[in-house]
Amino acid sequence: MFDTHLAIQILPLLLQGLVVTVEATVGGFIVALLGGLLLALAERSRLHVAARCIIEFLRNTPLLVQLYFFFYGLPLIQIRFSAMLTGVLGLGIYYSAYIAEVYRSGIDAVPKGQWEAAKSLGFSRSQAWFRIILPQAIPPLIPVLGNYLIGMFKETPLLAMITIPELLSAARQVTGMTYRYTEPYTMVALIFLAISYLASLLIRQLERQVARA
Amino acid sequence: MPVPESPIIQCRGVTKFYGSKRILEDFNLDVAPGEKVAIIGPSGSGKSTVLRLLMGLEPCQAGTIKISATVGMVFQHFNLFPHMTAIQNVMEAPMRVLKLSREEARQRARSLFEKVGLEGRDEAYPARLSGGEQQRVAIARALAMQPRVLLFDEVTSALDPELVGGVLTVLRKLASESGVTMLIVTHEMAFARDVSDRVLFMEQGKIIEQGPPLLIFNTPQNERTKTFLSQILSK
Repeated sequence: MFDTHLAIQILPLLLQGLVVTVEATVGGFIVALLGGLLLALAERSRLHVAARCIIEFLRNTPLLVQLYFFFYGLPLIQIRFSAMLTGVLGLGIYYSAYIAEVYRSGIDAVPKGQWEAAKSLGFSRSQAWFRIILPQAIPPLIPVLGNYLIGMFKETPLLAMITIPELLSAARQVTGMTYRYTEPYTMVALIFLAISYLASLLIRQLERQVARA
Repeated sequence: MPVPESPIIQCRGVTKFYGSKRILEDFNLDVAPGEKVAIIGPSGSGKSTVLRLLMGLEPCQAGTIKISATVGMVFQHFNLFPHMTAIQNVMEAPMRVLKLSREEARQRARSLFEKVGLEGRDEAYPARLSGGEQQRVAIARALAMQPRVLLFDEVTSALDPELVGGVLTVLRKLASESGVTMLIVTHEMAFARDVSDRVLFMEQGKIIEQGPPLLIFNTPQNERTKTFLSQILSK
């Protein structure tokens, strides 16, 4: 039977895990936004072959394998990060491949005439990117990017596998102490559901605003 | 045509393909500083390609293009920056490229808006402007960089008929008052006749006939020029 009293009792512990989950999500998302932009720009430059290879590698290997690779592999070549930093980078780099594709669709949607106008006015390539092209390409992408943020949030339990004390780890800790499984994991599911659902409502709102603009 | 002493634009043997389709063939052109050249001809004759090559928007496969001056361009579809207001569109390049201060750029933009009849439209976004207004913003934007050569690529072709006049008035004034070298690709024959010093008639990537506007329009020598003009003037 579900013990409501226990569920409430363990909530503070779970919320501590949630804080780590949110930190990892936000950190990972920032890495993904910047990494994705770098990859998207590289795809439109002389480095496009390298960029394409990196994107295909990241998209076609499992996130968990990549996390293990960073966590166990990098120390072998004397690169040592904390588990949290490894997790944030691993998550962010994995998602940067997907977000690069999102940026690419936005960049492709900007008419060619915008590049031509920028060139005819003497803008450098980087000025054209950052003043003319990206300010048009990115705003319509905000809802899609938001969906990736939620997707990423839901992937964070994988970070438990590399010792990060996020929400699922916290629940496992509770099960170790109480030998109760139903309550901690139900609570974890409910917390994910609540946050993801609220976030998706917010994104739908954003979507409507973008459509109106 | 007397060849000018030191042309500001010089094209020699320029050849351009799109894939296997030949757009320009052994194209030669000298333009003197301050000269106004109108380029006419049927669509697909390579008129716009000449301007795009001069602007450096595309490479050519053979020949040389020399331009000893700064170049600006006004496009058929305006190509305004939709995320910027009208005045920001004009201020952006002088600020970023010429490193003018915001105030200097604003003054320059304001006086150009006065010149093209856009007073009071400073803060409007392009989507809120009529086609004619958008094209006048684009003209002001090109002028703000003070180029010595200006290229006009069918700048009235995308406009509703009632908006063409306003843009042409601006261009007529510009042509008569400024010493800027102008290359104008257009389907407006009366306009071409009035503003240009020289008219080029192009067909299939070649200059078929060229000369002073009165000669080309009143007594064309080439049969194809005659056919083209009779078709377009009878419309």
